[in-house]
Amino acid sequence: MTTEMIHDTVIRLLSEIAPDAQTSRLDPNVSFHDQFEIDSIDFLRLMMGLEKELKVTIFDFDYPRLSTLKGCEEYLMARASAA
Amino acid sequence: MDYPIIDKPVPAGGWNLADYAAARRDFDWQQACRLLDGRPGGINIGCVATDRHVRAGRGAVAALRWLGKDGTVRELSYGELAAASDRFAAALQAAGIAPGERVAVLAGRIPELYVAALGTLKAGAVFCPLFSAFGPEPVYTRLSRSEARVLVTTATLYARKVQANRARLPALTQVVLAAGEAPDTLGWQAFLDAAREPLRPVSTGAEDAALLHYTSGTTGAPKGALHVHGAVLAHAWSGHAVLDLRPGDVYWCTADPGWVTGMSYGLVAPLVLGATLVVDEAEFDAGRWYDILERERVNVWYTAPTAIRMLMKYGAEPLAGRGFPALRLLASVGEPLNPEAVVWAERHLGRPFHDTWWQTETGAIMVANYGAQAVRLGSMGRPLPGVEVAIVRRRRDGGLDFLADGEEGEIAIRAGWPSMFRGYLDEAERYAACFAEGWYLAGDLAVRDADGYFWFVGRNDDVIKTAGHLIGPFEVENVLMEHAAVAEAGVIGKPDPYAGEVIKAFVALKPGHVADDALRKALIGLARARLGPAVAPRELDFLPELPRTRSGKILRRLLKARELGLPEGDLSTLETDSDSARS
Repeated sequence: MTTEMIHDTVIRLLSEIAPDAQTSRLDPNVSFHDQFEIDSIDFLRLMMGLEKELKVTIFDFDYPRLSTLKGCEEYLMARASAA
Repeated sequence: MDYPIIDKPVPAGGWNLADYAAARRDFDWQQACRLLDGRPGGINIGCVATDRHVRAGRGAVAALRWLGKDGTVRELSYGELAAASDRFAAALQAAGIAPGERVAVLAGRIPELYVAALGTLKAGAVFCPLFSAFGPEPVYTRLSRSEARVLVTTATLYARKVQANRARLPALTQVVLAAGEAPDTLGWQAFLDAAREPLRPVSTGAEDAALLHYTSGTTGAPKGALHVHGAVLAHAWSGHAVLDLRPGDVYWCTADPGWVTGMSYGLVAPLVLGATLVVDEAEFDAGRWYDILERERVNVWYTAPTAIRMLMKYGAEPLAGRGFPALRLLASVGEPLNPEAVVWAERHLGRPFHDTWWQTETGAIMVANYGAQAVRLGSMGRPLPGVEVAIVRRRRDGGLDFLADGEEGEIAIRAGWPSMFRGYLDEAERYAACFAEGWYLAGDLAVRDADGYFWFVGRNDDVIKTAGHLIGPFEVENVLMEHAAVAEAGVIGKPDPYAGEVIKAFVALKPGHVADDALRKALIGLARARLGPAVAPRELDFLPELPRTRSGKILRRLLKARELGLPEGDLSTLETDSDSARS
């Protein structure tokens, strides 16, 4: 897994879940929630989508660590190298 | 019948409602007025919730403990909340807002929302909360139909959801920003400072309008259900009897004040009963929620099945090492609570959830499981003492047949309880259609068992319950129909393990348009931008045409049956029965 893969997967899933989100302007350090109109069901769909597409397990209680693009990249890279 | 039953320990001092049978038999609303002792003449929800405690010497007690997203904690005592709401009320008077005129708030859970709500009530104006996750379209519809004179919001929400429609809202003379700045608006402090005089007390009576809650039906625009100041008696009694609230309790209601639960039980009932209300500004986060329950020593917690199911998904790990000895009673509302959730809570939080049933129109809890009784898993519970609930069938002549135990029918409540809605704003006919023979007809189907417990069956119309929010398909279909490619649209609730139902749209295209992924995303994107994520469809399928009745109505129940692979029932009234749509 690479950070590019994670980045592309997040952007693709966001454009599925919230096509209204302008992902071209995504700030990697700001939470998805503060940049786009997404709710907790959207966020849950994003987490489950990442698990399925990247074939990793994300512990539910770690979800807050994945609230930004940067957080997703760091967490998922660490998960991949631990696997 | 044999139902699993969960027993629980009796708290110190016993339950507020210790003997349900005696309360059902002996209750009268005049006696319940003792819960509001010490109020001045007339009745005003804002005064009962704040000033009354100050006069009784409880002004220093914490009324509101606000937990900001960023970790800030702000506490307002009953005395401070009384003074702050007086100032807001005085500012409304200075701005020329007359009793009966509407004041709306579009904001997240910020302290100003609570101050504005209580101040509006004290000024005799009508408070209209708007859910902050609504998109510009639902916000515009509600502001326009309510003819709100004042809107309290933030610069961010104003820019995203109001500004573009401002010119189409002639009644809206004042927009007050609790945070940020924008042209043609006033800052919160500037608005308050414009009041040179203290509040001139306004005398409101039990039948004066107080709260306006918009709710959805199958057809037509959202309906503005109007509630009166006298409703506070039902808020207080149900908070006492069902939520077991007492002075000094720490109480947390996770519902957003944009919906009726967040007003009746996220503001009015706990303050009237002298509890300390915990308000969390942040969105759902399992770890944070457990922290709040533990650290704030929450005694009574009122939440919703979607949140409970998401907590269950997180599993036991975040619970390790935690304890909730302060928790006395857990209650749930929004949609039927599955038995697993009750059992899970008993095991992991030490207390079972008590399901409750009520609606925007009923204003307060009507049917509930009570602390003093074993929880009957999967049941809505039994009627609130003072409220008469029946299962009925509407006859063609407009009369009602009252059904026996075990028979499925519509929930009906004998008209006249204090928090009964007094009208749909400007829609007398729609209001009248909700009543027959002196009973309010709820539109929810249920069965009553031989012990008097009610069991929820479903709706008798097409409204959708998603994450505990009631959404009308019509509002969603209308926005999809605005797209140039769409010929017709039908919207249903599709079962979802967390949200209960998610909104799914079916769309038939005009000739010359291609049903591809780009168009699907464009339509979902359009709906989200206009309606907000809570109301927009999360899924969308294309069909060659939508099934309709002979009279031309879209058969949403058939779309739903096909989606779920259920039997389709009687198709004899179908105009089109396209087999291709069934695949």
